[in-house]
Formats: sequence, C-alpha cells, structure tokens
Amino acid sequence: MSEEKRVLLEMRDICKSFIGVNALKGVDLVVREGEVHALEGENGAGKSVLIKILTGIYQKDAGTIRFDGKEVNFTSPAQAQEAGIRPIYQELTICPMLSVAENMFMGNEIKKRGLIDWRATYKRAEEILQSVNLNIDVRQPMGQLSAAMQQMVAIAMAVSLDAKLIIMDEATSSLDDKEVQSLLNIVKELQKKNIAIIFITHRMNEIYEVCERCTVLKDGEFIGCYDLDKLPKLELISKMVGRDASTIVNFKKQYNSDIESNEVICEFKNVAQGLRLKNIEFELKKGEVLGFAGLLGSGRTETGEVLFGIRKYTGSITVKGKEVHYANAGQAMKDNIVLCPEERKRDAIFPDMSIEDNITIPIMNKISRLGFIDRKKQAELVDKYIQMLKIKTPNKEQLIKFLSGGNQQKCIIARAMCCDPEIIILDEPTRGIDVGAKYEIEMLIQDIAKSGISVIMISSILEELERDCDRVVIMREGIVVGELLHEDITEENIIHTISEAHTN
Amino acid sequence: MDRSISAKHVITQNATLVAAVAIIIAAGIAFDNFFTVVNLSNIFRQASMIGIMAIGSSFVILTGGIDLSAGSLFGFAAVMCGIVDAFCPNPFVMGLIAILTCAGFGALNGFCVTKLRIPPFIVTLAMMSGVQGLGLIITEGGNTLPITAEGFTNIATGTIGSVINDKGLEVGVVPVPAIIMIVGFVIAVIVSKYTTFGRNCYAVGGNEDAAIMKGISVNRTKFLAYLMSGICCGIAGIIVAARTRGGQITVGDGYEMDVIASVVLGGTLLSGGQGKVLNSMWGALIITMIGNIINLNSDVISYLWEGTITGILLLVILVAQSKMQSNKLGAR
Repeated sequence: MSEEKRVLLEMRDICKSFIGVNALKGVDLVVREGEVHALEGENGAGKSVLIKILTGIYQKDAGTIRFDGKEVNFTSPAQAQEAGIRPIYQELTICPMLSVAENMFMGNEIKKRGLIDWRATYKRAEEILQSVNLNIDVRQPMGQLSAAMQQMVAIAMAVSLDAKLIIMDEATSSLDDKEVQSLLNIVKELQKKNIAIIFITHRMNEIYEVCERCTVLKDGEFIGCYDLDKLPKLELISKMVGRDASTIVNFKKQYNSDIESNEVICEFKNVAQGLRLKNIEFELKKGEVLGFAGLLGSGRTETGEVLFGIRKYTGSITVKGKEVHYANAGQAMKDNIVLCPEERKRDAIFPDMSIEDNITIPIMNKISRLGFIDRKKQAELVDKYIQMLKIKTPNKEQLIKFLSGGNQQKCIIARAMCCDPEIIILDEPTRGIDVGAKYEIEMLIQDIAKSGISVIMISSILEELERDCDRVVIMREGIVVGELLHEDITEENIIHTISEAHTN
Repeated sequence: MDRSISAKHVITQNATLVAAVAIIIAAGIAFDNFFTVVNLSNIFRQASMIGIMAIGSSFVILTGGIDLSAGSLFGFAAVMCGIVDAFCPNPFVMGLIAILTCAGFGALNGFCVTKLRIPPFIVTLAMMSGVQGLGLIITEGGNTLPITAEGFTNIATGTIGSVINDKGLEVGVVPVPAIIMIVGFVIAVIVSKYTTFGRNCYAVGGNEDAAIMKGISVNRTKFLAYLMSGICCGIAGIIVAARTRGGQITVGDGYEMDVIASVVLGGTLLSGGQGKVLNSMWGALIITMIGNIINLNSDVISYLWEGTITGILLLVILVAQSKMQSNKLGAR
C-alpha cells in the first residue's frame, strides 16, 4: 500500500488558554484512517487538553477541527461520540458497582417499550465481548475485573459502536507486560479494521511497537509530527524533554563489589501468605537497590506489604539482626522502614493538603512541641527536600493535587526520606510519570542508595530494573523463581527466568 | 451445596427483609398484643409516610446526595392542605396543591445542587430550616390549621377488606396509605431497574466522572431525583394531614432522619451508587415497628427509652449488614 491513507482527523492551530495560562499555542494533530498515532509529551505539555477539546469536554479558543471530511466543533462528549470518536480513559469510565454489561451500555441502553431490556442487554454484551475473544460473566460487577480486562471491555464496546477513532489515554499504565501485550494485539487488530487510534503512553517501547507516526508537544507548543521508523527512540525522548537525552537513557548502574560484602539489613525466611506468597526467601543488603520483577499477581507488591507490616504472613523476617513481627505500618516505621505505594493517587497523597503537610505528615510528632507543630522546623525540612529532589512548585503551600504526577511522586519520596529510613520500599515508582521526571526519579533512587539506604524497587518496567538495580529478585505466582546480579540483569534474562519457571 | 450457597445469597441480598421478618416473628412471640390485625395495619399506616418519603430519598441518596428537608416539606404539605381547605375544601385540589408546592421546593433543591453547585447537605439543610420557618409564619407560630373537607380523611383512615375482631367489631385490614406506599414502591422498583433515569442515578452516584464521559446528563439526573423526593414528601404530607385532620408544620420534625435511616437500613450506601430501592420499604417498617413495640408495652418499657433502643437496634442491624457485605466481597 504505497498510496497515502485518507486523512480522518485534522486539527489545525488549536489554541486554548485557562485564566491567562496558555495551555495550547497553535497545535496540529493529523491522524489518518487506520493509523496508530502516538501523542507524546511530558506532563503539562498539553496532551490531555488537546484530547479534551477533541472529545468535546473543553471548547477551543482558536483553530479548526475537521473530522471525517467535515468541519466539526463538538460541544459535548455525546456529540463527539456520536461522530465516532471514542475515548478510553484509564480510570474514569467505570462504575465499579454496576455490572459489566451495564457499564458497556451506559448512556446507550437497549430498550423495549421504553424500559431497559436486561435480557437483550446481557446477550448483546456477551456477543460483543466474544467478538474480541473475551469470555467473561457480563453480570458480575465491573469492579471485580482486572484493570486490563476493564480496558478490553471498553475497547470492545467502542468497536461495537462503529468507532472511527479510538483514543487510548495511558491505557497501559497500570497493566503488566503480559496484559500490555494482549492490549497491543487488540490495537493491531483494530488497525486492520481501518480504525484510527490515538495512543498516549509514557512507555516508549509501546510506541515503537504499534505506532506509525508520533506528534510531540512540549509546553503547549507543537514540536512536530514524525514518522517513527525515521526517528530513533533517543531522538524522540530528546524532543519530548527538550534537551539531549542520551546521558539519561544510556545510564546503567556501575558494578560495585563493595555492596555485596555489606551487612544484611533484612532477611526473609520461609515467608508465606495465603495463596499469594509461598516460601519467600531473600536478603537485602545495606545501600543496595534490590529490584523485584514479575508479572502482575506474582506477589511483588504483597512482599513489600508484608515487610511494611500491612499484610499478615507466616514465616520469619529479620530486620537489623532481630526477628520482627510488625502488626501495622507504624511498627515498621519505628524500625525505619517506609513504603511508597503503587497507587499514588489512592494510597499516598492527600490531594487537598499542601505539599508541605503532605511531605511531613508522618513526622508531625517529631517536629511538634507540646502538640503544636513547629512551623519553622517544618518549613526548613520541606525546603531542603524541595531543593534536593528538585520538586517543581511555585511554593510549598501549593496543594499537592495541582502538581504533575512526577512532582507528586517526588513529594511522596520526600515524605519517605524525612522519616530517616534505612529501608525504603518503592512500588512502581515511575508509574504514570512522564519521561523527563521518570529519569529524574531513577537518578534519585541512585542517590538514595548511595547515602546508605537500602532500596526495594518493585517495577513492571524491566528496562528500569536493568538500569537501576544491583540485584533483582524474580517472582512468579507467589514464588521466588530466580535472582540476577549486576551485568546479568537484562530484560531478556528477566523474561527468560519468568518463562522458564512457567515450563517447569 | 449449590442450594446452600444460593440460599445464603438470597439472605445477604435481602438482609433488610430478613431483619424485618425476624422482628415481626420475635415481637409476635414476645408480645401478644403485637400480632393483631389492628396493630399490624396500624404499623403499615404509620410506616407508609416514612416509606413514601424514603422512595424519593432512595433516589437522591443513590445519586450520592442527601435530602435533609424531607421532614419540613412533609409538614409544609400538611399545612398547604389546611390552607387550601379554608377556601376550597376539595380533597383533589388540596392534594394537588400540596404536591405541587413540595415539587417546587424539591426542584429548588435540585436547582441549587446542580446549577449553583452547592453541596446537597447544605442546600437541603437550608431548605429544612427555611421551609419550616415559612410554615411557622403561615400558621402563626405552629398552630394547627383545621381540615374539614369531606372525604379527605379517607386518604389516611380508609381501608380495603375487613375482618370481625374478637370484640365483634368490624375492622379494616389494608389501610389506604399502605396501598399508596406499595404502589409507590412498585413504580420505584421499575424506575430504578428498567429506566434510563433509574440507572443513571446509580451511575452518577457510583462514578460521576464516568457518567459525564458516557454522555449522561448528571445535572438532569440529580435534579429529577430531588424533584421526586419533593413530590414524595408532598404525598406523605397529605396522608398526615388526613390522619390528624389538620395541617401542622411541626408534624414532620425529625422525620428526615427516620427517612434516611430507612434508606440506610435498606442497604443503600450513603456514598451513592449502590442499593436496592425496595429495601427502603423494609427499612421504614423496621423503624416503625421498633417505635410501635415500645408504645404497645409502655407498662414494661417507658416511652423515654424509644430513642435509645432505636439507636442501639439500628447500630446492631447495620453492623450485621456490613459484616455480611464484607463476607460477600471477601476480606483482604
């Protein structure tokens, strides 16, 4: 197919400002039929504003949008959806307590004589899911499905509604590798059906696997639209962050034999928990970055939670030479163990509190005198961490919800740091964070380890583990199936260890 | 094995009904004056007012809102009946105007919640005290407006079917208000399960952002819910006016809490998005029965204990419910 495919969506010179802030300054986005088009940029680059204009949630200030041959100006999400534009968001689109079928037909119910026809609804829902090879009970609550399943249900639904353009905004950010793969396969299937897809992700590998072209935004400005086969990954990242990215991308932790001889600060022996963890054994050394790799459900997160005292277990855990039995997080924190959870929004931040309070919340007692917080001491501490971690914020009174994901994560790490930890457990530290901030956080992890703190780094992003870890423990279905050291830590080796364990 | 699981499922799904039946059986065994036709039909007559208001409140709570003005609107509807009675003693006109007035207040609630974006708790709290104040002004300090319209009292005291009691007197079996309540609940169940509005209430309460993304009009859904709550208060207010043969604003003092308790007892989450409307009826019956049992046995238990006992029982039932819920979901 040498001829150019027909242009489906043409957004030209789109401008949008919010109370004096220019969110978009003349941005173009051109998507052809049956094309998978990546939309990239750091947080705050304007991707989501652009998408919200396209889907009718915001109104543009200037510019033109042509879709399917006609000039359009959607004033509500319903209009955009009617035209065939179907957004699939990461978190927003489900009612967890309602059934799968109901979620699928919400706003578009099947009716008979004015009343909802449940039998037909369930039947149609099953048909739609079967058409993409999903066999699930459509009557169960949507909340019982995994995040990946929910995504696939949403995609199946969009396809069934004659979508011409599907927007996948961070669709893969909470999926593990296997799930990502099946999602990408569906994307390829859609492409064959001549459906165009706008694909937004922070994971570079995915872009190169499925996308043909990529539009890059930075600070609300249009940087360019590139053919990906002519644009190496490194150049793409450089364009996104606005500077040469080679030093950060090519980073690999230096082999340091000293760490191996360091004292063991924490040891797991025969630790088990229900069906999730079986006979977990590992050692954590002082100043070491110990990675945990494995698919979703392999028990990585649970291992961290056991150490942090928020999950019951059997077996023995030794910390700093004495056996411990933490019944709650408070006890673990007394032994200088801290955890930064994977669901940042749900489990870590207090959205309506200032970053100052968010950072110092676990040590309020320590910086208080007679029960009153010593505001001066608090300010000093917070200033120190804002500088050290390069948290971008106008001031420390800013509410944390107004910061980007990367800066929120830095605050959470700052919160952990101000507890003077000896062991810090980072669960998916770079999830939902843009490229620039991601590398900054990875460098931060190195600095933390250098200062003698032991880091447990749980991640589903293998290249991250490869770059940052001294040692990686590989888990599968609640069992430790292997361990890799220094140079042996490569994506291939990790995948190999996981799949080998499968065949045994 | 399968049967036992499904039986357990049925019980957890209808926990409120099970609790209501348990109370009826226990009270029937313990107190011989409980299980009589007169008393049971009395319970239903009393429960109907809370029950009817609970219909509207169920929808409001499903959307994630709350209606604290129910008691005031209820009293005001009775006052409206009294006002209209003075110049047009026609039951239909009286009822219609009472309902329309409350619908107006409900719409105002809805307007403030949706267009002015004021939290429902604040809006309906203001409405509660505003409407009550208005009622006090109209009735010059809470006087009862007499109602003389012919046939009006039948709305509350009328019955269908009758039996001869042990004193040889003919007594009615099914009170008209109970029929109104049951018809109301039948309609409400259909609306909640089979109409777009009903399902939208669940969607809006379950995840408002998701509802917006699916193109559901969140404002319209919430507005209709408050409007409906107003109408239900109007209907219940007519019944109380007919029952007391007068319109008094203070008659509904504190009723909003009984209404909310009924809905919560029915298993509907105050955070919205989950619950079954029909169960609010069993909730209303439980609340009424607790008061009834204490009243019947005033020689044994002082009426002063009613509040305390109701509170304790509510707590026990709700704890049992949440235990069952967490068993169902499987604790972490």
